[in-house]
Amino acid sequence: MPVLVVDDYKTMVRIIRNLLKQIGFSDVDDASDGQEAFEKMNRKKYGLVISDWNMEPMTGYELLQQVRSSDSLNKTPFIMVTAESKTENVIAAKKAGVNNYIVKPFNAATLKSKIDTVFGV
Amino acid sequence: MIMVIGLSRAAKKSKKDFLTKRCGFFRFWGATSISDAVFGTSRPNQICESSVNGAKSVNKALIDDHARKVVSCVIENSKTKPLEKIVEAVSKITSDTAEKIKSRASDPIQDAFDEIANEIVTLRHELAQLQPNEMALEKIPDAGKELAAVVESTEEATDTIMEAAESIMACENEAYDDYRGYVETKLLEVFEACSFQDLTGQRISKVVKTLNHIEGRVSALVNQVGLDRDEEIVAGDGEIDADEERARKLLLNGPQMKADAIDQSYIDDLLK
Repeated sequence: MPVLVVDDYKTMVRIIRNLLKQIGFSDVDDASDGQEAFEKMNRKKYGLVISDWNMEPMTGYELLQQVRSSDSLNKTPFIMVTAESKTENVIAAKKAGVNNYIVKPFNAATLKSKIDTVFGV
Repeated sequence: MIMVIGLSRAAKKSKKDFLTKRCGFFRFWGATSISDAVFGTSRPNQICESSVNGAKSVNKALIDDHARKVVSCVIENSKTKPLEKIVEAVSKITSDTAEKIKSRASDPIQDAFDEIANEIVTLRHELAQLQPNEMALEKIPDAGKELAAVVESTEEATDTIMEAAESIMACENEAYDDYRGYVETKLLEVFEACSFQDLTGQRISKVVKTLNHIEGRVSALVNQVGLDRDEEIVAGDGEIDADEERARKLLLNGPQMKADAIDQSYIDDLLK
């Protein structure tokens, strides 16, 4: 299943890619902000999006809103992985339709657990 | 210049006509009262109302004294001396009175100006103690460079550590001793890379020191100027810049301090 990792920090993309590889996800693409991610999602069907929040020009929150408003993309599982650790962020993401929310720093076990929850494993 | 003081226009005209006929051409300055003649129709800008009011009360006494002297002079000399001499005597009395008013009236106003000037000098001295040029041209740019260096060195260290980890994970060496040797080599690289923490810690300490220095200077200035918290001008909603507006709208709060951040289990509960 192709996974799209969205983060403007190359290091974080690399970490998540390696963790995903360990848990069985090897088909991983990346984007450095919400806008680039949305364009890629319109060209290729992804089974999961893992996105950071704070990016420019489009944040992960805005990407989530766009994805949920799109007829073709609104069912895509979306996990927010971010340093934004205030209650208002979690509530806003939940209202926007996020499937799960992971706060940085995190470990492989947490990532696997939240992905399993999204897919009902 | 002759000052003609009279309550009515007709009275002033009559005096002007008399003086012009008898003494030739003079420049006349009309006024309806003695104080008006002294201060003119334009009032001075009031630096300090009490200073000006104080000046006025002093000047009133001088003006009343002047009026008495002028009247006495005219009465005493009108029958014995020619008009030119009377005018000359009155001009001298008026000139003397004007000098006295000027020197006395200027004192309270001058004091007010002196006070303001002293305040400005004091404020400049206190601002100079802030060493703003040193802060703006050296300390703050240096702090910025230190933080940029921190970002660079943490990135380099992270790359080295991840490279080592990826190499170990990708290693397909089947012989145990060879594999172990390889892993140990890579782990040594990881240990070496971890020295970034020492260097970044020192750089950040320098930045903290600069911030403390700035804080100390600003606090000293606030204390000396006596600026209260409620006097501070807080930017209203209309003055937020575009970056702040975007941060507010998109909830860009950034990483929180450990004590303030919510943990994963709390987030899991929120999502239920």
